[in-house]
Amino acid sequence: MFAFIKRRENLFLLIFALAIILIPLVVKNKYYIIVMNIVGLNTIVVVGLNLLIGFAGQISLGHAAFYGMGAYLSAILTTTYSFPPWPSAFIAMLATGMVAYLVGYPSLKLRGHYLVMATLGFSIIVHIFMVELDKITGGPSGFPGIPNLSIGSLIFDNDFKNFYLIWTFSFLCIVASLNLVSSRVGRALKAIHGSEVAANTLGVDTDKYKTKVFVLSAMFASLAGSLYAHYMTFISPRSFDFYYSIQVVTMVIAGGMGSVLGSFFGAGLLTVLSEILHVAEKYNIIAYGTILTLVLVFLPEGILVGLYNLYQRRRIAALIEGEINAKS
Amino acid sequence: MEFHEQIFQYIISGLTIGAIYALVALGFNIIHNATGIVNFVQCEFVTLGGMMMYTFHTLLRIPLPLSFFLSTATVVFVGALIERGPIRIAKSKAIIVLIFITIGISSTIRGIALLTWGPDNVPIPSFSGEKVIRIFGAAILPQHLWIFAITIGVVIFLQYFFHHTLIGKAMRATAFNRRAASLVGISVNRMILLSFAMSGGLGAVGGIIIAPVTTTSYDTGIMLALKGFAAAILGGYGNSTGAIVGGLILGVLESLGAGLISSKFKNAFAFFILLLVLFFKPAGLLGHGEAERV
Amino acid sequence: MMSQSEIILRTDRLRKAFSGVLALNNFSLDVKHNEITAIIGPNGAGKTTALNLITGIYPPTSGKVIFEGMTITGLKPFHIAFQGITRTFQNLQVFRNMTVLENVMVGLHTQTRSEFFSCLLHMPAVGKEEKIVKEESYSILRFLNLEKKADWLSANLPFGEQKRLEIARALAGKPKLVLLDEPVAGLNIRETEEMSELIMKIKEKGITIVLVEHDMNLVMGISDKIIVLNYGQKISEGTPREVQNDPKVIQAYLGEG
Repeated sequence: MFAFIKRRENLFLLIFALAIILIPLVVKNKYYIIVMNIVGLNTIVVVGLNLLIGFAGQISLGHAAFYGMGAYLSAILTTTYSFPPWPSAFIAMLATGMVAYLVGYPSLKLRGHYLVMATLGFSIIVHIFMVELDKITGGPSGFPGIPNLSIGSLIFDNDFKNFYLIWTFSFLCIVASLNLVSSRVGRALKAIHGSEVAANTLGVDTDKYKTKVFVLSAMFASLAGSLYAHYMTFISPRSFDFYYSIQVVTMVIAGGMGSVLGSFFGAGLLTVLSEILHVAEKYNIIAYGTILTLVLVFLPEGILVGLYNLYQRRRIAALIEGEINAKS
Repeated sequence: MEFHEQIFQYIISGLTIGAIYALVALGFNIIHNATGIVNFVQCEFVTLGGMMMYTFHTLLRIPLPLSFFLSTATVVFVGALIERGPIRIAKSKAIIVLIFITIGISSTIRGIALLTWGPDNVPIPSFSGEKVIRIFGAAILPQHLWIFAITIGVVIFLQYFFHHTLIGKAMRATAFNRRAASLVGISVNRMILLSFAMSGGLGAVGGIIIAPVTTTSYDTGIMLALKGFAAAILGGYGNSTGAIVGGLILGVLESLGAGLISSKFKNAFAFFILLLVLFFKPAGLLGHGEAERV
Repeated sequence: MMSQSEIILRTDRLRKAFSGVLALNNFSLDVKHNEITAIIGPNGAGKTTALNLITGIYPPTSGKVIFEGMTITGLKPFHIAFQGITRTFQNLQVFRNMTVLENVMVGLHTQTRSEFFSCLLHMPAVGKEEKIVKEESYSILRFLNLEKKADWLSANLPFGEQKRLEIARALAGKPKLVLLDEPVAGLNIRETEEMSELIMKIKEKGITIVLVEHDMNLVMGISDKIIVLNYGQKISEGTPREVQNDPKVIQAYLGEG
């Protein structure tokens, strides 16, 4: 799985792994750990979503629904029906994947951007179900009493332990995505984004690939949702609304469509920003909207890559000017 | 109320809201036909129509007809501003990026609306009072009649505009074949600007005329616009007759569903129908399939 | 293995109508194995439509396409690629978001197997396959003289090299039949000559070639057989000499270069 020798991102992954191990030992402020845990969960969702948006070039505005499905399915199975948590999370992933297939396959077969509307409509329906089917979901007041995850006698019942749990999964998801991206499948996805018709004529079953990557991204979100449910032990529909779908899409764009590591950056940046703005929550929407718009208009390659390119252009312009001045 | 009277009531309210869906759907179509993008700012056009009406008429006490005009004009201006600004400046012209930009702008405007007007619903007075009119046992508000009348007026105007004025025909030409249109001297950029402006106008009118019935707030537009989009798909995306037919049918189905099946899931009906259409007849009721020339 | 002069591709009375416009009518074609068959005709004659029908971009209104004895009419393009048919595009469909090397690696999609699950986990088999794919891709780039620019973003290549890249990509999958849609459109005289030599080299490898083109020198120079289309109908067919002297062809091209 790790193919370490051949990768450019190796150094980063090494530092990343070290950071994961060291941070809870060094950072003692619980609040920072909690924020980082949220970043970790969002990273899982965003990395998956990026595969869909940045590589296959499709838009989904419904990932809040998949995140929520993972959370609620895990919660209901483990709390109401006393199923063991790990298999429940797995079942939730499969169920979410199947639903994603049912929504995605018909939408992705069509030319044009029908997936946007289908995912949007779907996520609104799911949210309504979360609120109205209150006998099962607890309704708008939420679903309490979800057990923590555990491995043997090790129970993940505080923020520090959950840090390790969540970030291990984030790390694995990042590695898996990096694997996918530099493989036959990753190239096929990029090809679909580059020219769907040409990809088709080279043997890429574009409908199947688009659907599969959509299902994969939904399963990543579901996994994150399950982790979230067992971490928070309480969930409510408010966390899984349309605004969350916009937030994760903004994270993908800000981090750079098509960059796996960029997704991590985008998730981190915008989660922290959201926390800072939490003081005045009503600024959240306008902040996200403005960032999304500005980045897309001026730095469509993402904040990091965009700024880097800008810097390069300035440098080259300065060099050229220097040469012209020297000659004259 | 007798059962058949109930049904008639549902149908009337369904047609009323359906008219709004039709207006929004027409707005979506105009931009999509001209540019190929799904314009999410349509949601805010609807919201802003109602909210500007609140500002001009309720707060500033400007007489109704003038407020109507000013509100629509404001949103038309906003639409044009969006095209001239972010859409025109955008470094990347890829459709996926432009669609995302409209999502971003939509959020931004919604955020501004939240900060300006707060989160609460605000009332707008009906155009000509609240006296209930009874037709075949169904209760109809004067506002409902206004909605029908204005919608019909708008549709007739659009029909005339697109088929009997030079500019309208130029817009249709651009939508049909951009390159050919520019070759005969039509300024494609101006047509796109116009399509955004008109879309703004349509959304605003829809938001204004329904606001007295449903009250309005900073995020009313989202549901209305999304259902309007569902209507556009139902009728056949890109097809103006389809938009109207789709809107009315969607409104009626939603109303009947809420009344006869369950009102808790009212909002879900429209999206169920959307998903059903996408899965079984993506071309919609009146649409043709989309083909891609290589 | 096909022998020389066996029919590798046959179209049987292909017809394609687009909302009332008849783009191609009664189009029957026999392509012999390892020959260069050219389809020529004025703009809008239906040449690209014919290619699109053969490669499954859209289904014909009526008629059949038969490849190596198997009916492939109506198959999706990716299926057809697996049968051994690849193509290039009139309006250049290079993957601009990928490097030169990556473009060619996609061409090897039909020769490889790794799927989602194994790629996510980077199973050992995937690693082995990647090595082979890389080596083969480099060798094709060498054949087309693009090796030095393997890591360039394909969008940054000059136009003529992008056209070569599209051909490299089409050849990567070891096709039996390659369809070239206007391979020299936009190229200068020297580049056209090089392309002409390249096409001959491809023929030497045992591949069958169908060519859609406007450049008469090229077509007359290298084709074994020429089909002439006008307004969606076949108006002439034969060797370059026969077609050159056909009065119907001369009339159709009256006024054209």
